[in-house]
Amino acid sequence: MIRPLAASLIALAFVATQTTATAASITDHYTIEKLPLPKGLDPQVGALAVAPSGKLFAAFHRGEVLTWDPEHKHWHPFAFGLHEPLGMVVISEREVLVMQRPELTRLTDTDGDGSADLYETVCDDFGISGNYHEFNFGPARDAKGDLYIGLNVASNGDKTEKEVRGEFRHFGVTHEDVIGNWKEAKGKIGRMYSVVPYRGWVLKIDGKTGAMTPFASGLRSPNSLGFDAEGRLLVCDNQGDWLGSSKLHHIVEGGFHGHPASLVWRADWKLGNPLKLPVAELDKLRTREAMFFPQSILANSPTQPLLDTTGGKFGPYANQVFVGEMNISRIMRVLPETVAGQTQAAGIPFFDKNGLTQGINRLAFAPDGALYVGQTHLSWAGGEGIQKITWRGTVPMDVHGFSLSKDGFDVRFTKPADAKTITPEAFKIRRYYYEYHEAYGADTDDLSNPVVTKITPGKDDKEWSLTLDSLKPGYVYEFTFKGIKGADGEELINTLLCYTCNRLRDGSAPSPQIPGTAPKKPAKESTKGKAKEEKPE
Amino acid sequence: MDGNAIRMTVVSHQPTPWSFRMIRPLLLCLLLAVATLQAADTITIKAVSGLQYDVKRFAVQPGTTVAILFINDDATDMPHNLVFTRPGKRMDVVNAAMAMGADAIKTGFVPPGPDVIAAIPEVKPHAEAKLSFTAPTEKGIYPYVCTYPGHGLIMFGEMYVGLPMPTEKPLVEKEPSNPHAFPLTRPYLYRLFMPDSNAASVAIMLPGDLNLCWDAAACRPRYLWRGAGVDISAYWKGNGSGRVKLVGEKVWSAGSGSPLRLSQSTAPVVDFKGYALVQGYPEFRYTIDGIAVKELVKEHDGGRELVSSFVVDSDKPLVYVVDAAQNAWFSSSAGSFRDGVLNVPAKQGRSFSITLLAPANAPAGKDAK
Repeated sequence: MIRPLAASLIALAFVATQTTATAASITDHYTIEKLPLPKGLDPQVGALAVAPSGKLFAAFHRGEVLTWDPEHKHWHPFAFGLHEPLGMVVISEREVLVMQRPELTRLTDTDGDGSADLYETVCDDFGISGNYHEFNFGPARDAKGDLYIGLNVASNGDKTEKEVRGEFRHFGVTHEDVIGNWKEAKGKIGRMYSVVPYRGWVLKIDGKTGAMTPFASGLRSPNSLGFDAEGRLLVCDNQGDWLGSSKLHHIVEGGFHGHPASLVWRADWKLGNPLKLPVAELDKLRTREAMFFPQSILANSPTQPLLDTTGGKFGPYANQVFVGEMNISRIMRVLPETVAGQTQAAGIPFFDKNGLTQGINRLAFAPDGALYVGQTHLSWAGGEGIQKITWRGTVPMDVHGFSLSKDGFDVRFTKPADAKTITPEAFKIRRYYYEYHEAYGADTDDLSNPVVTKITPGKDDKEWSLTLDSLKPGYVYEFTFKGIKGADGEELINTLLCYTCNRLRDGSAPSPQIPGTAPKKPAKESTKGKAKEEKPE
Repeated sequence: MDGNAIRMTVVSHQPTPWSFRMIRPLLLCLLLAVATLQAADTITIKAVSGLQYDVKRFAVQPGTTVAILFINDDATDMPHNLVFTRPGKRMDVVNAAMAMGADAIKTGFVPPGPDVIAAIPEVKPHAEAKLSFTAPTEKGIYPYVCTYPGHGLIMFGEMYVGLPMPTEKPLVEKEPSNPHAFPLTRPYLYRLFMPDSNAASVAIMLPGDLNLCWDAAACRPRYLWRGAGVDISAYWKGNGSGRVKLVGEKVWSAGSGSPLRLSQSTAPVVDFKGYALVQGYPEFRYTIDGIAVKELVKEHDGGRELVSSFVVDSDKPLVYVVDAAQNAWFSSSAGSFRDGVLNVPAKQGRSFSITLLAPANAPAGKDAK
């Protein structure tokens, strides 16, 4: 009686093992571990940067910068008393640049005792109103050594301080209104406001002279900045007013990236209160986002873009860009490309859950190719601590590249695919757009389901060309991959990809997507703001 | 008190295996000796994380033998010592240790002088040491303190000699809980949104109870208060919308006008450049009309005074304007004050200092000088 049962158990176990062998898990290819942290630390990470020796500099919510010696596993205090440090660049083993609320600061350990004794102001040529939402991000350093920082707008969740730094400017309320009658001023000032210079801007700082140039406007919460391998300055911005969903911007000099509060600080601004302008006017002024992170689908609060400079030590993604996500437990990749002069990109998960703590705010590569991940929450949904992700040396079956063609998309996998699994049914597509409007977040508009009509193999089984029955500019193409496997039998590890198609290859551009222009038949589905109140603005 | 014979014996110190073997015979002898002399119970005091002794208070009878086992159990790997002082002399001893400079390493941060009645020098993390001494014959509360640099302000306890020991009363001085993983001892500073100052401000907690708000937009001191410093907990627990609270009593304040000028009638263009830390004190850097200024702020005379030491990269005559509403007395090492205006003659402004006699309490009325 017992034997047949045992035999079938063995058979079941065998089947289970078989399934496990092919089921895709990122942890088959990457390990993840937590860094030990000193007791008594509030381990909300504002910034991470690694020196050439491998020494990790980490900045925390309560204003400390600590260094981690990975060899001796030892934390050492480097700096204290900073005001919400949220970005950092290493200059040398003894010198870092840190972005804090009041300024970009150079911290130098001049006597070599391991702690900074010189805190020099690199740039404070911008305003601070004392509003909590005026977080500052960056710096990102370009190939020439120039620096770029991003400044949040303020939130009408609170007023300003009585004494602000910089000129107070608003075309609807005065500083006296804000201090004396906030109840009324709150309704006029705008949900997010820019009442001191350059809030909502990206500023450029000359790496040699420190001279500041206002670079681009229209940002809301630019957390944070990074360059891709082609030298594009990428900035993530967060869903909110004027952002139907979170965005990846390719910041261009002189560009207005969509959130209007900051326009008042344009040198040539003569149009008064930007909130009173017709949306169509603002839409004409703006530079379209490179990519949407569809809310509740791909990301709710994308954070730092980081170029993979490891030369392959972190797996098959060398020279590609990773992006953190604060609200859910996910690290993504973005794949920007230029189509008819317009930057547009695909976004795809890279590492989901599997021990990854949510709240991913900062990323930094170590010289050995490991990725440090720093978490925060600042009372929003998130997490805390520092984790380290290390490549095991095996290649996951993943989408490596994704590019618009003249009649569809070209997809490239990290490994040869099992040709049998590359069928039209393997690509489920949802197509929609997010309206440009003042309200917080947006529904997915004009939802449809284009289908793949033809698949052409490329030069090897890694590359495939998909022909779609319909291509329209100005839409997100959300792909769900079904049943795709590598030739080695491994399932595709990430089955979601969202491509924002601003333009087609022939240059055709979308017509305005502003209130009143949506097709009559509204989409039934709504993905608007599921975690809206729970995430950083 | 002075006539008391104090026997001070450090029995073991960081027992690494080789040293422990060498010390063991000695240790045995001494243990026997102690046992023979007095059957005193050993008091175990541990140094724990957060710059604390686990035992905050213990009582002994005058003239008896006090046997201490001191264990450095600090999880943050910090060295500590244990120094017993005469009543009321804790901070004097702490400051004497600080003043020793590099010499302090030789004595394990134990300063010389009659205020120290017994001591265990520096004990490395996870090591231990023993000490026995004869308790003073004079009744009193004798502090014990860690005189390792930066620890003495908060790391201490009290030995009650011949006095009833309170069980619940907190120690004489408040022990602020450290909100950081590393010790925070005065002077220290935070850049913060400060009340009644510019959004770009610096809160500086000076040794003693004097605190300074320095305005990094106007580049000047804005106010002083006495007390524990700043309560940032509301800010820290959230996204920054919680306001910073002053803990203590404001004793002096000024407006946002620039005090340091090239001429009395013209406000200079000021530009903040940061600060250097000089033994923990901020030396602010800024320019007035393009001229580089360094301003080191320090307490003086036990916190009665605030001294701003200026280094100005110019030979031009300088003016320092004190607005009439200020309730404090100013003096200067160069030039002279007249009607609230200090005139520093040409070439004397390269290096000079201004002393502000900080009121002990909140101002009752206007008393400008």
